[in-house]
Amino acid sequence: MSSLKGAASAPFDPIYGAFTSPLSKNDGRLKIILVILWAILISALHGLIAAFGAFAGSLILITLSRWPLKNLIKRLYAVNFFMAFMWLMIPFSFSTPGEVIARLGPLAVTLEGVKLASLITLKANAIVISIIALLGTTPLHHLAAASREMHIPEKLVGVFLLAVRYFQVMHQEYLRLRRAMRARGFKFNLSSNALRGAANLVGSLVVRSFDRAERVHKAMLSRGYTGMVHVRSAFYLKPIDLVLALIILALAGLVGGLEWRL
Amino acid sequence: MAALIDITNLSFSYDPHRPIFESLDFVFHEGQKLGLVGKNGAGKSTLLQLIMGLIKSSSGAIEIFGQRRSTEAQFREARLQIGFVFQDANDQLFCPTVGDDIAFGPLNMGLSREEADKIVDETLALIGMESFKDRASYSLSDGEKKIVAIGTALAMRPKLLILDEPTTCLDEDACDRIAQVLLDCGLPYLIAAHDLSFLDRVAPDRARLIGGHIIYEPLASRPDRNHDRLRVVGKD
Repeated sequence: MSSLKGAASAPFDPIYGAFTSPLSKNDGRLKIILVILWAILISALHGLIAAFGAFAGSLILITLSRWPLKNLIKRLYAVNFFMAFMWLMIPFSFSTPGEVIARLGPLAVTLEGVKLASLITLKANAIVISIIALLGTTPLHHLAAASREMHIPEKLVGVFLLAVRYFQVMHQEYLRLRRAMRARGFKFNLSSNALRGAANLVGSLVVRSFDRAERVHKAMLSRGYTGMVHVRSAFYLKPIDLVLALIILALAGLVGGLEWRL
Repeated sequence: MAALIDITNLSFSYDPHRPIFESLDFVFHEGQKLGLVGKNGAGKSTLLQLIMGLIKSSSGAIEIFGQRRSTEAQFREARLQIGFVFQDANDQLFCPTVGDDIAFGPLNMGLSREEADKIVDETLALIGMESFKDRASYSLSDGEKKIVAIGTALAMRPKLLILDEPTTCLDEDACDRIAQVLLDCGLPYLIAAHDLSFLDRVAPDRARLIGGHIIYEPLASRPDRNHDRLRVVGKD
């Protein structure tokens, strides 16, 4: 079954570039610069209408990227989990005084509070969506190569590359340990036995990751490692880069117009 | 025959109360295809890592390619000429793509991007994985990972290959491919392994680590020889 499915569509794998998006071909350096500009613009917004505009602009970008909707929702869930805590505080008069529009028991909901919470939610989602659309569609090695070309320190680029590579290995190690624990009847609850088991799991993950880090380092030394992780880069600005830059600058212009009423 | 590796009077221990080697002697000659066998914990991997200078001995002399090696700089110079394949390919493959992984060693040797790319293509052809250049290393099967790991070692154009348990957990097809790559590469190699039938195919010479010492086993004196021979014939 898996082979049939695999033939029909490549597995969704943005990190290593198996997921190809119309934006995957764009210059990585340009995308990093554009996403930084777009995020700075959004974080400077105060008006709700402009924030709506920015959110719509980010939605246009994610549509262009053809990012799978299901995965997008899953990722936004994480962001909005934190937003939910904010909604528990900010709309109420004790944190944002103002015109009372509703009452929940002893708590008063203020118009200013709701506006502020909506503004923060829209801005956060707009930034995250644009990062997914622009950086999520950049394969890892392009991102690393682009960072290097933008003179981000060598050590940071190396750490970034290794971290992404070994998160997966550690995750698999974790799943393997969990399976082995479950095979011996482990069930997580708050009993002292289960907590001890969970602590042992974390402990052995730490020890194993340390061991693995040592082995990886030895393997790198064996191949003459001196502190530089090389990645292939071949960046040049293409017409589609100009198109992407124009789209984002036009969106930025519209959002700026809404904010500052030009 | 000149000795590529010549170890004399080597001592090493992780725990001072339980030394792994006390005055170990070991010689590996040019052109040799040597299988290193021994029980779990006999010190096979330790010996290989001592040869690479990845761990340091407490006493004794290690000569590689005719020169005494004791400092990190001396070992580094030797390492660049030795292809070392780790037991777990996940330790060795850490770049985003197979091509990057194979280019890593050549680039560390100071070659240009173009030269390294050329070596990548040649190496992939040698190991029969031309279509894997832009595949993500982590997404390969265990057998493919191991063959790419051998490729990363071969890409450094070494004078000698050292492999630690190259066939652990691999199926017969993967073992066959590894055997073929080893026989085709034309290099001397030292393989630590438990898989005797695999060693019989690729490494006619045999050294056994036992009690912290090396015993060279001539072909005729191996007790398990006939048994393995039958297995190999049976499989072919």
